[in-house]
Amino acid sequence: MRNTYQTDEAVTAALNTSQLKRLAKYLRPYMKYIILTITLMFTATMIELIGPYFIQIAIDEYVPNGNFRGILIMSIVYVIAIGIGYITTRYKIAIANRVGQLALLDLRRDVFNHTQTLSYNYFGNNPAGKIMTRIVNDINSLNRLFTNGIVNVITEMSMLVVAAVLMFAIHPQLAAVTLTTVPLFMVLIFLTRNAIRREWRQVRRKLSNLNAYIHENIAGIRVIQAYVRQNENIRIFRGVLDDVFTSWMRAIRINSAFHPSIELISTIGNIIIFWYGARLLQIDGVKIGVLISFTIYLRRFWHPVIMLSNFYNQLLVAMASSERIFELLDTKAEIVNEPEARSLTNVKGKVEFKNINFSYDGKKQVLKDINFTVKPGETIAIVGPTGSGKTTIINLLARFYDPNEGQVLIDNQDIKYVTLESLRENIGIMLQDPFIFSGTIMDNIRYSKPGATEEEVRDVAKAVYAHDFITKMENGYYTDVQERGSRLSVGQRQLVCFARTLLANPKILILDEATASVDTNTEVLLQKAIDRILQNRTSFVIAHRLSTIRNADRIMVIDNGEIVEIGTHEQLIAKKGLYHDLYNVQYKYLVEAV
Amino acid sequence: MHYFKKLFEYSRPYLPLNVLGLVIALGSIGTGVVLPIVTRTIVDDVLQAQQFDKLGPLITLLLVLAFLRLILIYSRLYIYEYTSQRVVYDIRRDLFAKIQSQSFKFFDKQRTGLLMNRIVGDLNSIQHVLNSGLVQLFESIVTLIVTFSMMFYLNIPLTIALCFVLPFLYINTRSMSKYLRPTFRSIRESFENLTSTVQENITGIQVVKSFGREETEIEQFTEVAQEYTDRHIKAADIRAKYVPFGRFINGVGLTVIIFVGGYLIINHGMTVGTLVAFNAYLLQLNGPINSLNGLVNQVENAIASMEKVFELLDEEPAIKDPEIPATIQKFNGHVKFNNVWFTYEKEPVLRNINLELRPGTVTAIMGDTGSGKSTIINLLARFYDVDQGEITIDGVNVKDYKLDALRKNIGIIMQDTFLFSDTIANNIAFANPNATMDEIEHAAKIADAHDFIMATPDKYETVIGERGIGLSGGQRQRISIARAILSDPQILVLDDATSSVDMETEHAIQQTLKEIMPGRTTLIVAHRISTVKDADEIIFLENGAIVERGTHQELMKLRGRYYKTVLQQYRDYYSYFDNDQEQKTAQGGLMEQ
Repeated sequence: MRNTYQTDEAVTAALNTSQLKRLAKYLRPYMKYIILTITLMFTATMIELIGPYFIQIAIDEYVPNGNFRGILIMSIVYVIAIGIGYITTRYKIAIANRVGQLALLDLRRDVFNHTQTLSYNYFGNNPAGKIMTRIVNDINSLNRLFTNGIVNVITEMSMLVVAAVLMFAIHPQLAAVTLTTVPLFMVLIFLTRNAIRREWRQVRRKLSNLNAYIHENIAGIRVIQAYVRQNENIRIFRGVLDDVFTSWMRAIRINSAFHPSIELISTIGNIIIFWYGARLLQIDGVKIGVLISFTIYLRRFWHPVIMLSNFYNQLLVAMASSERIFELLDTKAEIVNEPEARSLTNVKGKVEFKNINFSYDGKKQVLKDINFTVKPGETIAIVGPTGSGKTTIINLLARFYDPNEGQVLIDNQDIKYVTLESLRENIGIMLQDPFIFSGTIMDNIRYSKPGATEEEVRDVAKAVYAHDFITKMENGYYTDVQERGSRLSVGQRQLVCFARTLLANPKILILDEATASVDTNTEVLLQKAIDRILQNRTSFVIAHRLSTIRNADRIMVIDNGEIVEIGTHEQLIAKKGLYHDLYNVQYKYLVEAV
Repeated sequence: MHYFKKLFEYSRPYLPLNVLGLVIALGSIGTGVVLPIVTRTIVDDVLQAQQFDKLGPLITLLLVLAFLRLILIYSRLYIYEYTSQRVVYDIRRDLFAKIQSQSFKFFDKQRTGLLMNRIVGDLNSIQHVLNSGLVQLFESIVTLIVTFSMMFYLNIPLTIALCFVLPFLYINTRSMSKYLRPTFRSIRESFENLTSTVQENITGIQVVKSFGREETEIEQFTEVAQEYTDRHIKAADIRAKYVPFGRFINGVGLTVIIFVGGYLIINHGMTVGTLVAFNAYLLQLNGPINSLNGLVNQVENAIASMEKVFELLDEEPAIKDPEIPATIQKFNGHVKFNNVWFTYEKEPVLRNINLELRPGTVTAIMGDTGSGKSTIINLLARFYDVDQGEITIDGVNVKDYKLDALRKNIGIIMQDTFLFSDTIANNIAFANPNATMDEIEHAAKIADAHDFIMATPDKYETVIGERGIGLSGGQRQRISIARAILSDPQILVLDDATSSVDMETEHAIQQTLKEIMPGRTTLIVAHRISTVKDADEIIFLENGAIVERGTHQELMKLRGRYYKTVLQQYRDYYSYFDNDQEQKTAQGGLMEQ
């Protein structure tokens, strides 16, 4: 199913420990540093916990005895302690952030690298905006979890334990009674857990839809303005925004209750201390300083609980994102190097299609039982009505897709068992849709061979008659052509792409309607160049223009996914088949023209 | 400050709610102030004084206050989340509309990834500030004032002693802000680089793969991602320096309380309960002071975003509706170009163009690649404005029409086909979302697209990928032709619209177009002689100027550029025969005409 901006991506993976383990894997290389930060954090926390103890001593011992000297010494010790606390916290923050950011970078790199291996199908079926959302935004939302999350959890947990231990050490009975509030907290977590997760997941989906819609509206702005669709699109956009808003508020409704509830539970704990403490004062002769330090310890006890529940929320939000990230990482690249793949070297250029059957969607058969052999150096023109399967043959040859049945062979090797890198190094394709990257013309031509000298680039540009218009631009080869080459006309873009293809100097050359938008004058000049370019290369040429087909050694006529005729121009004309008809139709229009 | 004013304007509709939120926030601060007092009373009057009969009512009071506090905090959180989301919703909507109204020149220069960040990321950081930020700022200040007043009320000398410590907190926060600002800006920049890099890679993935350039792409991506990471680390280093220092000062505050407080209890009869309350207040100050730290980050972040967002919102589209638009709604389609000049960068792209397109006629434009053919169309639909001269339709300058009215009357089939990831039916009905299925099919039939559409798995409901991945070039062109036909324009423009369609299909499309187009104005840009030969006037452009014009017959007689082109295309055909005799006969035939 193709994905549009209105489709909520269904992520099926459930929250499971394996997902957490996968995230944790990214932190593993930094274990050393994580342990260091935990140690630092632990030290800082311990120092912070000394505070209430000092207050207890001050109130119960020094103040009643009027021991001001004791207070002074204690104060100096405390200031030194918190000074050490400052230094440790400082390095803890710096190191924790470094670790988190580097782990995120690793994850982001993995995700991006993976997208590069995915097949055409994936990009055809998913709007660019949605893929971008996963690589950029979803990973960013893991930021907090990675930078502070793990470290905080461990230190807060230990702080929690230490506070509890201290409380039990001071007065076990009071401690036991005070901590009866903990089950309340458990109930709270239990009640909200699923709902929060579900709602955040929904939020991430709606945000992804928003990104997809915005992306398409900017990329397609020219069409939108030409058809005056702005108002309609703003209306749709509001719908998309409404969805984001509604889902967000639903998540917030539950999320907002969390923090204040914990504060309430904390106050209930205080009340218990006073209520029970009052009794202890009467019966046990417990000193008042104990009660006061208890209220402070209880605060210190709930503080990590709040932090932990924040972390838990972060985790839920992060899960909603990491599901989406892992789903992308788990999308199998359909076209991969087979384990026994060898690299394709010393290519002669013999191409063979053996009993090929192919369908894009499993329903409509696009190619049916295709068989042909092309000799090294031969030029084959592929002719046929639009949608007959011409481009599909090329997609299979470059292994953008694998055939459902049959084999594609280059120099008698099945290309399925050849490394993709070596295959595509030997095949140069000039695509139907001339894509230009932002940057200079020089960058764009050089794209196929980054090490090429300026001289080489100029030579290929001259060969395809692009040199003239390039030098006429304000900065020549160094003119910035902007995203998608919006500075250039379509014909110019085709010429730049042609130069780019040629620079790679491939053994097998494919021209897919490469010059459809180039004017006749340039086309004629180009034709002469092509004759020279095609020498010593096996080439496939798809075109509607007769001029482009002129010099092919053989012509292959495709109709409805089948090869109906194959042979030289003369043979096919003599055969009076489909080619003859196509040819005569064109002839008719030409004659009519004259 | 200018930006804050703008932001305030957007917040105005939610002012009553915001005020309610503030009142609630004040209430919750109130409970925060009262709670320690109750605790103090419990310690001093109940526990210290051993008056345990008072404990019951005081504990009840504590419980009630705590519940009240829960409700107040929850409502406040919800209200501010709601209002801030609404404000961002409104800005986002306006921003989207603004971007949609920009002229082509704007999009020539802006990168898609960057614009997306404006609408999504930048607004998110503004939302953060609106939501928690401003309220927190307010709360923090109020809490600071109230807490200080309470402290003064309870014990003046102890409060004064604390006053020697607390200003350092302010200085600390201020210095952090100073260093963070440029860092946040640089993070934002590198984030935009990251988005743009990913965006371009994904939209150009076919090229990446066909040249096997994945490695280079990964390298480039890694470089950008690394920079983004480095800048984040730099910001963290700054925070690491200042945030814990705030906590240190706080600890010093606690020491002052114990030290001075202890002294005061011993020598001046201050109560233990007061010391406990002071400790609680110091902890309460902790909140606002810490949040002021966090707030500085957020606000710095948001200011950087606001600058960008409002700059974009303020950017007036280069091409706008006239102040007093012409009233004509339905055009006759009489187009005139009078001495039109146009320049994109430096070199003029069009030089002194004079054209007249009459209703019911077909005008064809030919010319070299980059000679200015598409520019003529871009000027006609006012995607750009002319530098000199004027273009009129039905005697009215195109600048005097409302843009909507102008463009609704012109149907353009663009050279660079763009389809949306949506169903085929919705793509065809793009200009006219209310079109019936019959109308859509009718348009598809005229564009000779019906048959191949019916062969797709879900027919008209088949979803096609962005940019029509999955369809052949010819099929995409025919869908965009159907799209233009359905928009039912008075002026139809085909910009090299059939270059990927075979001649037979093209001929069929032209024939049907002719039938449905009586009385309309048609402008065709093409390279094939067979496409242009029947036009009422053929224009030949060279280097932005008209070098030849006339009917096919006239231009053939002229033996100029057009004639040469005909000859070339004709010769192509004949060369198949490798028959000199026939070729000469054919050429001879041409000469005689």
